[in-house]
Formats: sequence, structure tokens, C-alpha cells
Amino acid sequence: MGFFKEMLNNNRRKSRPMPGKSTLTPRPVFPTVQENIQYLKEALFHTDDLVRQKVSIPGYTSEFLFMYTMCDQSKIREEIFKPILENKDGDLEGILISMRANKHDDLEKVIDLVVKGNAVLFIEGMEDCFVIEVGSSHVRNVTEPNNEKVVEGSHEGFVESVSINLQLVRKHIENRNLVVKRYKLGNETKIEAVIVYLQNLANPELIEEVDRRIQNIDADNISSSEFIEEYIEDKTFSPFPQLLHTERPDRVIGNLLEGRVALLAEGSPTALIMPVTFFAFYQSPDDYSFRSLQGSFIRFIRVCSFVFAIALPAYYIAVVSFHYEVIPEDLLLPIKSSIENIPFQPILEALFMELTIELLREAGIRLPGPVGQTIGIVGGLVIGDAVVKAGLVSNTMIIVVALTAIASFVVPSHEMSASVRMLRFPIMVAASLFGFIGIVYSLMIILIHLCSLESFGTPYLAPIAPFRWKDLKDTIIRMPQWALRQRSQDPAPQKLNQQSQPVEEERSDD
Amino acid sequence: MRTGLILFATCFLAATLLSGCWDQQLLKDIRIVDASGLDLDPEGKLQATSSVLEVSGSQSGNKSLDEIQTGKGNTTRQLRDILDRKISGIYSASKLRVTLMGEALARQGIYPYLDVYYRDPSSALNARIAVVEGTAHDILTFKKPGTKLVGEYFNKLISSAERRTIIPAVNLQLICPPMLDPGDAFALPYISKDTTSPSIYGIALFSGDKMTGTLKSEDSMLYLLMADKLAKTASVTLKINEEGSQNPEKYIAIDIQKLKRKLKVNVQNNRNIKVTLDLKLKIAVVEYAKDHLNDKRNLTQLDKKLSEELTRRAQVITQKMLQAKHDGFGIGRRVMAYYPNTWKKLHWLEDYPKVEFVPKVTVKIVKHGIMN
Repeated sequence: MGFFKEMLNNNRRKSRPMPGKSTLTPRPVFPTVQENIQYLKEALFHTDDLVRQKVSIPGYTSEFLFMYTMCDQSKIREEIFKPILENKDGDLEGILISMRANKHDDLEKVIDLVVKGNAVLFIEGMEDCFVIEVGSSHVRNVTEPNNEKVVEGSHEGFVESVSINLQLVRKHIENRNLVVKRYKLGNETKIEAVIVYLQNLANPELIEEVDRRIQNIDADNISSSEFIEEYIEDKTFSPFPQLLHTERPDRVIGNLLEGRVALLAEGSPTALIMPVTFFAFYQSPDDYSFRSLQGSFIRFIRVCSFVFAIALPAYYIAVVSFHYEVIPEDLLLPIKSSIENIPFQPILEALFMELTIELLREAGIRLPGPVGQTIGIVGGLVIGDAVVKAGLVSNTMIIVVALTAIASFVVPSHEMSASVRMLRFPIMVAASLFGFIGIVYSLMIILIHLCSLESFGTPYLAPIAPFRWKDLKDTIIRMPQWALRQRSQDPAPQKLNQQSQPVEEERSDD
Repeated sequence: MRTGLILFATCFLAATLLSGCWDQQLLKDIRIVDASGLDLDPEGKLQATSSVLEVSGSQSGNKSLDEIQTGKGNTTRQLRDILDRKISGIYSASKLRVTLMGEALARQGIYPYLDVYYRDPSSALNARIAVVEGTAHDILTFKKPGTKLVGEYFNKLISSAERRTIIPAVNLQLICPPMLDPGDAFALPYISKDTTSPSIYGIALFSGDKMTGTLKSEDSMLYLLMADKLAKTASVTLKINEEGSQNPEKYIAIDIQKLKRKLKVNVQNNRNIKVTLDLKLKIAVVEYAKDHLNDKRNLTQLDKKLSEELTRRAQVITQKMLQAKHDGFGIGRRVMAYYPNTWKKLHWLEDYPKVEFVPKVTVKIVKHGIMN
């Protein structure tokens, strides 16, 4: 059974020693320009986008090297040629300052910088070379993420650049306690990943653990934050997501202020938030922009939708194939007449419709906007209607499947929605084999799993298990902002109070 | 590692798919029985009449029909098997709505015929139960007015009477404890065969599991009030005036608004049981053609007249109950609880008719409509 243990328990191993990250021995700069350029070309295997260009600084033989695919021509003109032209008779020091050049003496490091989009300037006879930043950048506009729309509140969304994303976060938390930790991940890709947290809130043990897990990643291809998730989550084969994905800065900020950690990576607009609880996936920024009564109502419906999405088709199957006694008398005839001539077992009917809906969803995503809508109409209306008229699937089954589909799409998080949609299939099979007992057993297994699951050391089902009465105020319902005096305990923040107790005041009505 | 996974999957699939013990019972395969009748035929054999639903499979206009099937046998369960052979699909009485008992059978004792309902876990214990005049077969095959299904029809017929406090709200489950309790008794709706349609006659009084008497609908209402079982509404029309220029002026129609009952059981000399039943009614006058209800004196006079009339009727009812050995107010239970020594010496079935009932009804008019 070692395989299962390995499968289910990720990141439970004791921290192993840091994998031998290939540290290249420093290579001092050669005295001649020619030698240097030759060395760089060798190191980059004579790649064709490496361009060398002579530059005339009075009194020096100098040449610079850059990768044109990574550099902006206008920046080269601006940063390299313009300072030289302007300081025709100035000294070298002045020119370099106006070039904003950085001094380097290790060629190996310089090679990495050239690959990133810098130009390197070699000057005959000098012991150092100079790196000038001329990289071109193509960044998308900061727009509202399509998959996490809100009615009210901020409409900003992350983009694919870490520095812009960090700026979006810092803009809203003007606080010296906001700490950013950088990592270079991927032995081949070497992308930049950062974790962000509030030094005075986040639990040091949590940070240590996150740090350990990230340091332990030893893989060639890490190209976005979603890649990192599977390396650092607790149980990879759990159906439930243990890190919250979000593209919304306000959601990240809210979570940082609860003492959680966010991970951002170059190349992906998705931030990963850890540790999270099950209920975090059912919270949306909208809950907080509405007033508490409305917010609570919406959130309560959303949590209820979990039960619907996971168990409604199973319940229906169990009822029509085992326990038709529970159908109320007045409902019995409509249901019976709708399934009277259906040639299939209820489980086949349900699987057929559920899989059809999954296919429609998948087809709708891939296709461009207007075509996607057409697919929706063809699938939803035409297939739904025709399949009933043909007598393959009953009316009631269509209603059940449609309700379930709607219930599974209200979840504000896509990963949770996907896992809920996946989980209902085993429950449906259990219901068709054993009726209500099958449903109860499979829900029990899911509940046991949820209770035992942990996300970075915090219980996943908190505050229900372990039960924390005080934390319920922002779980299934949302109490008014002034009532949320204490942070929730699950990320074990260093400081629990976030508001002072209001001072009771005599109210004078005049 | 990999073998473990394969082994687990194989075992799991084999256990679930190959064991062959799929005990599912599909809703589409069953035939729903919504009303059944039980009768004794002259030779003493049991005759069952069932109305089996014929559900049309069309998705839109679900106009359902029912077919009546009859069979003869010895026990209820045996008849189920016999009827199952006559119908297409699986006979299922688990959505039964009404069970009707022929009067002959009810007088013999009903428990032996109901036993299967209490034993089978899937039986419909919330099915209504009623006794019919003549045979249940005649009533079920009677050409009923309208297009309602048989079960639906009798269900509505009985439930509307329950609402009006004419018959007690009972079902298979509720009658079971008083049926088996020596100190309690139950009453069932009694349906008579009118010339045009079945109608609620009143109630059938039971002693143990045997039917022993009946009460008309006016009496059954007062009986239910005395048993403290006022349902949604209760109204009655009484004749209180002898003179009057027109016939309607002799009558008054009242609605019972509120009810307070006091039941006291006294045992004197260890033997004589005296029951004082104090019933206080607050009523609304809904029809009184003689009018002048704004006069206080008229009201008090009416109160007095009504009290007298209802007390007289209550006395008649209690006499009938004693004759039928029907302990519907649960006097036996009280004796059991408060006078256990007396109870031990009593032989309730014989001693019950010796109980002395002193009913007293006090009426107070609290409303007389929006007209002055």
C-alpha cells in the first residue's frame, strides 16, 4: 500500500537537504573584448539572436552584446547611444552613470542577465563589464478577470507580470510589514516566483513551511503558479483543492490581512493563497461589498448549493430506483408518468445527461464567444428538448440535471466547482447500487476525508471541524464588518484582534 | 505499489458489480395501488378490491386512469399475491391512500386483516381508513362523479370531512395503539352509499378491533368536541325555536370557535366510576333568521337554549358509546393511571357500560357576524 501513501501524502516527508542546485564557478572577465564576446557566444551556443555591436566611446575600444529578441530597439538607442552622444567629451564614469549601467565581474551571471534581456558592454582592458537594462516588455492591461467577475467593488485583475501584480497589492496595503520573498523556480525555466505576507500577522511557522516546500521543488519546467501548486499542496490526489486560486488583488489583500500567504509567479495572473479552508472557496468579494444581510443570504445559498450539486442527482436516482415511498402522493403521478416509458436505468439516464452537460461546458469554453453561445443554445435547448421528446431521458431528470449544473456553477472558485462536479459521479453510482445507504456512505467518506484534510497545517474544514463558534461569524453567513472583531483562527495569525471593542456610549437623542 | 492499486480496483469492481444482489425496484416497473377495499363474503372468505393506477407514459397530458381488480383469498397478503398475478407490473401498496372495510368485516374485527400493513416496512401507514356501509367492493366500483381517481376521490372526501370535525383524523398508524390498548378505543369514518354518490354518514365506533356502533354526522361532531379534537372548523345547525313564521326561523347555525374540555374520572367505593365531562364552547352564530342578536337578553337566552340542547345530545351520545362498549375518551387509561387497584379488579369490557357519564355543555356566543 506504499503507493497509496505516496499518492495521498504529498509534502509529508522530512525536509530533505537542498537539492544540489548547479552552482557554476564564477568566471572573471577577460581582458580583451574579443575574448569576452567569444566566451559568451560559446556559452549561448552561437544562438542567432545574439547580436554584437560596436560603440565608439572616445578613448576606449568597446563593444556591446544583446539578444535582439528580448530587447527593445528604442531602449537601446535611449539607454546606450544617447548617453554616449551627449557626453562626447565627458569621462567614462559619467557616461556609465547616465547609461544606468551595473558593474559585474562574473561572466556566468552576465550570461543569465543577457538571456533575460539586458545588454552587456565590454570595454577593452577593463576588469568589469557593464550590464544595461534594455529589455522589452509586453504587459496586458490591468482588466477585470473574466472568470471572477463581481457586481460591485474593485474591477482590477492581475496580469502576467509579477512586478505589476506586486504593485497592485502594495498599492492597497501601504505597510512596511508587507514582505516579499523571491524564488527562482524551474531548473530550466528559472521563472520568478514570490510569496507575499504580512510580517506581523502571518504565522512564522507557516512561512517556514511554505518556504521549505518551495525550496524543495526540483523540476526543470515551472512556468506558472499553477505548476507550483501540485508541488506544494498537501494531498495531490484529494478531490478538494487545497490552495485558493484567484486573479483578484482585492481577494489576495483580504486574505493577506487574515494572516495568509499569497504566491505569485511570473507568467500567470493567478495568485495562490495558502492555507485555506473549505469555506474560503465559497466566499466571494461580493459578499463584502453587499450589506451583511444580503451578503449572508447569497453566501448561505452558495453553501447550500454545495449539497445540491453533490447529492441532488444521486438523491433522485435513489428515490426512483429504491425508495419511491418517500415521494409525496401529489408528486408521485407526475414523476411516474414522466419516467414510465424511459428505456434506461435512472443511473444511465443521469450519466448521459451529466456527461452531455460537461461536454457542452467544455465545448463552450474552447470556442470563441459567439460560437460558444450557439453551442449553449443548441445543447441546452435543442438537445434537452429533443432528448425528452425522443423518450430517452425523462423530464424530471432534465430538471434535476439542470438544477445540479446551476448549483455547481455558483461556486465562486473554478477548482472547487470542478471537484464538486467530479465528486457527484461516484455518489450517483453508489446511489444506484445501494440507494440512500449508498449516498450516506459516500457522503460519510467525503466528510471523513474533509475532516482529516489539512492545508499547510490548518484543518481544512475549520471552523466546523474543529468547531470554533467565534469563527462562524464569517463562514456560512457574513456578520457586519464591525462585528468581525477577531480574525479567523485557522491560519493561526499572530494577532487575533482586528478591531477594538466599541466603547459603549450613552446615546443622547435631541 | 502498482499491483496494490490494480488489486484494490479489481476487488472493488468485482464486489460491486458481480455480486448480483442489486435489489433495486424501479418506480417505472411498479403499479401503484391507491385504494383498496376488504370485505367478507357470505362464506367467510376475504375479498379484496384494489384500484390500480394506469399511468400514461406521455410526457405532457398525464391523464391517468385506474382499473379495479378483485380477488378472493384467505389473508390480505395472500390477496396481494393473487392480485399481482392479475395486473401488469409489480403490485405495490406502499403509496396506498385509502383502505375501505366492509361493515361485515369491521364487525368481525379488523386487526387480522391489517396485520400485514403493520409488519411490512414499506407499507403506507399514513393511508386513511374508513368503514363502508355494505361492501367496499360496491363502493369502489360505484360510478363516481367526476374524473378523479378512486384513491384521490375517497382521500379528498374523507379529508374534507376531517377538516369540518365530522370524523376523526385517523390513519393506519394512529389507530394501531388504541386498537391494542384495553383502556382506549378509536372511531373510523363511516361511508354510506347514497343513491348518487358515496357520502360520509358519520363515524363507526369500535371496541377493541370490532365495530360496535355508528354515530350520525351531527352526533359525531359533538363526540369529537367532547374528545377535545376540534379540527379547523366545526359547524352545526340546531333547531331551537318551535314557533316561527317561516321554517328557517326555527333554526340556528353555529360555528365552534374555541373549546375547553374538562374530563374528570371519579371512582367511588372502589367500584362505581363516575365521569364528569365539562365542555365549554365559544361559538359564532353564522345563521339565525330570527335576528335581534344585538340584544343582550336574547343572547343569554340563546346561550341557555343551546347549552340545554347540546347537553341533551351529549347525554344521548354517551349512552350510545356505553351501549357500543366504545371507550373513545380513554376512560380506561385514566382509571389505569389514577386508580390502579380498581383497574386490577375490573374487567373493563364488561364494566365499561356501567360507567356513569355526566356531560355538561356550556355555550357562549362570542360572535354573531357583521350584521347588527
